[in-house]
Amino acid sequence: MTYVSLYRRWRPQNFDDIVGQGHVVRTLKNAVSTGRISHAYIFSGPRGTGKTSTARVLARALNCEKGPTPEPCGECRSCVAIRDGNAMDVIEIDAASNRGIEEIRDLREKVMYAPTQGRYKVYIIDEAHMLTQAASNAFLKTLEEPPAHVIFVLATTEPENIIETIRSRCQRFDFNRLSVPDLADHISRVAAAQSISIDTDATKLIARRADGSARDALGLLEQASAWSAHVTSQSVLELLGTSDYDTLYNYADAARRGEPGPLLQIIRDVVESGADMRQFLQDLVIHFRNLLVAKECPDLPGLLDASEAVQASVMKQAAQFERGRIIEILDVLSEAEINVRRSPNPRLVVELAAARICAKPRAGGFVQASPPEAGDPSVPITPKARARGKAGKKDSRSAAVLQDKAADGRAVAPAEGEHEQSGYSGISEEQWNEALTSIKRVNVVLEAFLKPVSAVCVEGGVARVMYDPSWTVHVQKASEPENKELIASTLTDVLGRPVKCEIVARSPKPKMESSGAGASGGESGDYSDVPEVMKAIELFDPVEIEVIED
Amino acid sequence: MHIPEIVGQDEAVRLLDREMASGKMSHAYLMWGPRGSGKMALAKRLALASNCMQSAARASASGGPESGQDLPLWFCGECPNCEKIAKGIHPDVCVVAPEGDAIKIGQIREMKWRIALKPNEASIKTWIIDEADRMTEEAQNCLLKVLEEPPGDSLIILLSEDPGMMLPTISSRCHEVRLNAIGIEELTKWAEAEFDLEPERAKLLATLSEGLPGRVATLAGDDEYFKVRDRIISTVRRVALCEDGSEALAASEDLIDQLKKAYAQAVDGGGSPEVLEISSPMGACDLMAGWFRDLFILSITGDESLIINLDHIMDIREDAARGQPSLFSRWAVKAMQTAQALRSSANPRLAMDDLFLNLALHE
Amino acid sequence: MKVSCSKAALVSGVQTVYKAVSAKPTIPALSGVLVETCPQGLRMVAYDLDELGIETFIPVTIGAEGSTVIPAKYFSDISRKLPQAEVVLEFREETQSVTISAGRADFVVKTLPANEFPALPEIPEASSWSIAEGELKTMIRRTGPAAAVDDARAFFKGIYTLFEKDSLTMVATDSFRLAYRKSSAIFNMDEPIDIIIPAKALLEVERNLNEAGEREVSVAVAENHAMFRIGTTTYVTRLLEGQFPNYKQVFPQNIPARIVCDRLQLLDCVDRVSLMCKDELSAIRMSYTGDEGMASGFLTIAATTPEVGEGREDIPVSMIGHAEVTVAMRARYLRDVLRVLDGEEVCLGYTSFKHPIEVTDETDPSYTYLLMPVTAPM
Repeated sequence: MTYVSLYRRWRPQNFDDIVGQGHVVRTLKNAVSTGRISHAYIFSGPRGTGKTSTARVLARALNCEKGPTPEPCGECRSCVAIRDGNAMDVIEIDAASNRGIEEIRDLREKVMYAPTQGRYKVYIIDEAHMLTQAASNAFLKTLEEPPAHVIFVLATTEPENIIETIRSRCQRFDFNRLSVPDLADHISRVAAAQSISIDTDATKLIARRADGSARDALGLLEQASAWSAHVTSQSVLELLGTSDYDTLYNYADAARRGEPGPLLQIIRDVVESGADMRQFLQDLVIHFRNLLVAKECPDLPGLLDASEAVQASVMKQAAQFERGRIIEILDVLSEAEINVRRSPNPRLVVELAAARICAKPRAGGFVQASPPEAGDPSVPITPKARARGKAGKKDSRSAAVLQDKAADGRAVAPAEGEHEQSGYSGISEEQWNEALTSIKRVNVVLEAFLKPVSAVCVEGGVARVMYDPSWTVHVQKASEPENKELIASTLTDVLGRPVKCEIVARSPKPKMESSGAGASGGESGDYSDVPEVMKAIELFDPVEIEVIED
Repeated sequence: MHIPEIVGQDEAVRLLDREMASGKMSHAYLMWGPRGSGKMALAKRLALASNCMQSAARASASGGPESGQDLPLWFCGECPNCEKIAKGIHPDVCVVAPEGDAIKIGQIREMKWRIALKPNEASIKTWIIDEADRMTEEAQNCLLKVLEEPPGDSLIILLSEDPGMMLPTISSRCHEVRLNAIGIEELTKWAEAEFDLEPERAKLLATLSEGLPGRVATLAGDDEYFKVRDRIISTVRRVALCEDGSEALAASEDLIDQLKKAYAQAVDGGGSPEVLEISSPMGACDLMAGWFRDLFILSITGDESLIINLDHIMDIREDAARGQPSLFSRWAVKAMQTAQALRSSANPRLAMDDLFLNLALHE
Repeated sequence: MKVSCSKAALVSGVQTVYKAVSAKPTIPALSGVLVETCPQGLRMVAYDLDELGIETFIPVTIGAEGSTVIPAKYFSDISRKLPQAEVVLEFREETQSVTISAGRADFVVKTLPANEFPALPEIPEASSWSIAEGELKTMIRRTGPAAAVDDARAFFKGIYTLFEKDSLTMVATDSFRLAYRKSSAIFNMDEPIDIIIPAKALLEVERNLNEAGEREVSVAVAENHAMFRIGTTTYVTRLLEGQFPNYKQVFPQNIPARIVCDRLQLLDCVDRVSLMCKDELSAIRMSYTGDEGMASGFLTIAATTPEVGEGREDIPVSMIGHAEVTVAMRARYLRDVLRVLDGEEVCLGYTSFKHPIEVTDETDPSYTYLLMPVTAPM
């Protein structure tokens, strides 16, 4: 045959060919050699883990002319027939298209017939979870009194959707997603046998991307080996259409700084190059996940889902990030990754996610803590602004005005260096950190609760310690009188002047700008469980709401 | 004779060419990419290259693939197989497409029977399943076995805009071939040459069609599309920030009516898929979302090179100056959500009213 | 195009090709019958691109040459209902329609473009063989019913056909029964050829064969197709892919007991008793009663449906050899074979309750039908 994919040529013919399911193979071999065969099995597990292949091997083992034997000969008429798919006694059925009561009733009658060639009639029922309730019940009757010559193997990716009464009558084997090392081994073995030249790095990459499936892994290997004579991780990435690493790096860089302009330009370039937005988002998520891994375990570059060539760069970039910031961005991106799947306008989803990322640092991060000034551009249009807009319309806006506007726009985002990480007013970051260190000495728990603080603002003898409202427990904890007291006294020490302490959970103003974006993927959930606040949001412009937990 | 043209997609073509040249073809492919990216053209091209009576002789005569010299996925275009495939009348190159809104199990059962027969004339029986993600779950499951082990020399090609909608067991059995949108620059050049357009116009079409040649081809001669689009844009501009609820509601009613008319006209007059799309309430909302996106992007960055609705740049400048980025982004999201709600069959009138009230009163 | 012919010739032509009209045509023209003038008369073709293409010729008087495609259903219905008279078919290019008239009846039917009608596959006839009409009919009639109508495995829907130097073998099975017939025929080939032919196609060929006929059927096999020609009618079918199961090992060896009885009596009995079966799927039981060493006894056929009742009947039989016979089987599978046999007596070979029952007819020694018993509790 001309076109036969690699995974078909490497279909396991024996128990020992089955990759990564040692526990299943051992038990089945043992059962065959001791003759303790169950009448019904459930093989459950994700795609490409060898359920159907194992069922066929079991059928060979049971019906081999030299058997039953855990090592079917592969040469007798029965073994050959099963390999060629024309054995009369091995019947593969997909339950999905034979799921009705009629088909199962028919099956019930048919299983009563003795095998024509072999010892057993083996029914391999794929996607067994698709049987309707009525069909399952009908099938149950067969399972209760199975004819001695019949073996059922129910293969399924969703064992929980098989009714309990069937499950309890079957011996169940769980097929695991193949581990990366198992897959990598398998890939190397096949590659060697097929004279495919491949780097270890590329082997690992394919193993990771195959997501636990041997079939997917061989498919990728085959394509990669066609794509380039020598398979490298670079060529695999090309094949997968993975975004260029530099693009991901630059995106992350701009995202860290919260610069919407550069981010949107990167997105524009990606769009204009014709790349798929879904893929781009997926790659971004992988990149940020890598950054997080690098941040958490800097000594274990092996955990990164990245080729060796870029590992150092990932490590370096991770070092520049705050851990919380990476998580924030990952949050936004993963949400966008879900939304983009159903969106007819993927570009917009990606752009709005970028906007949210830029809005975030001021939200979770460290922008002006004081109430918004009248002129703050992030305030939704006030009557005044509206008037300005209308006036502007009359004298037909000139380029100059537009530039003004643009400048405003840039100011919104904390692009300007000094805004960047400044969540502090009236106190410096160092001073706050110093305070934290001394609090830690006295009360470790409190220090831990103070970690997510988003901003500190000292003004007129009051230090307002601010949290994103989602940290409800933290706010509560910090608001306990003795804790507030400890914070106040520590700050008094650090600042050298007396201050009182207020714990504030606030709807971060810049969030407003992205609240829309947030809505696109379901609200970020900040207040959703605080009904009073929800009400307030309905009544007032959310920007102006502050929840003072005092 | 008509040979399906593939615009862009060099990588996809090259990948398949290399698979073919190195004898690593699969019996199953999943070609996925956005509407208008050329999936069907690529599938037909693969059918041509697989069945051309001269290509095998040529490859063996030269002792291997003549990469570099030949067109990738070469076919002669003259042998009976090529001719019939190009005309779409080859008995062994079959297409399964949704009947009504889905590909049903009966269609897959029929395919399974027919693919079990030896080919009439082809060397490789080719089955193309268009809009494969619209297979019912039963149909998908029914396909699994034949997709994994089709009888004889067979090639099954699934086409999908949204492969994520299918069971993972389907894609796992296929070699995947991704079709991307085409770079705006390349597409602009192509559109200029192909449809004899002014560079500016070509760029607009390329941008509006999100890099998809199929859509450019439709839009190039589609005045009706632009009429509907302008109507929507002008309505939106009038309503936004007008602070008059009743005017907003009137505009909503009016727009819905006009869209209905345009839609009906397009259905009767065999209008393009683009007109049908934009004159549906969800299509209109998508357009609005894109419009607010332009306002938002311009107001936040001031960078006009990021604009999509290039032909309305003056309007966008003007409108962007009237509000804040936060407002525009909220509108964009609102429009997007409205489109989504409409897709899950919300009442168009109510949804549009709600959207327009939002715009008018910027709630 | 303008031709005239007898009504009978036209009806026979249309009915001969009708079965090959595509139910779900991929090309519109395939929903019609191609008619074309040629030296042999009027050529008529229908073709579903898959299992069947049929071509036949009817004698006509040609007024003007040409060709067109006439929608099959109307063509068939109209031709049958025409008055008994000379029929005139006239195709008008300008209106793309055909006028069918006979006596005072006139029909105008829109036609389909003839140039879109795909050509039947060409099968080189240089290496064709010939089989007697009656023999081929018997081959197909006795094996065909064992083929599956609906099975996921396509080869069960075909008839395995093996051409050897001096024999022709046909085998069909749906894995619950198997029909086998080997007849002698002279093919004079170097290498045996085995193919799987869709049962539907062969049964259509069979329908148009005459048991007492004297004609020779010419058979040709190409890589992907098989062709049968009887007189002026040609059948073409695509072959099935795949390898037919190894059927030889199914035949039971050393059958200890054979029950011989009257075929029609057994058929009537099975028909009657199976009235008490719940449905087509249910089984009947069969048991033998006779004194030890006696060559004759009774065969009891019974069917029970718990919530309905029971039916039972004895028929006199004779037994060769000895065994305790208690066996269950699906009534339909037994009826199917009893109907296609011709002999007065039928012989049931019994090995055990779980071995296939071998059904044979001594008037046709080249034929064997195996019937899988139902083994589970009934």
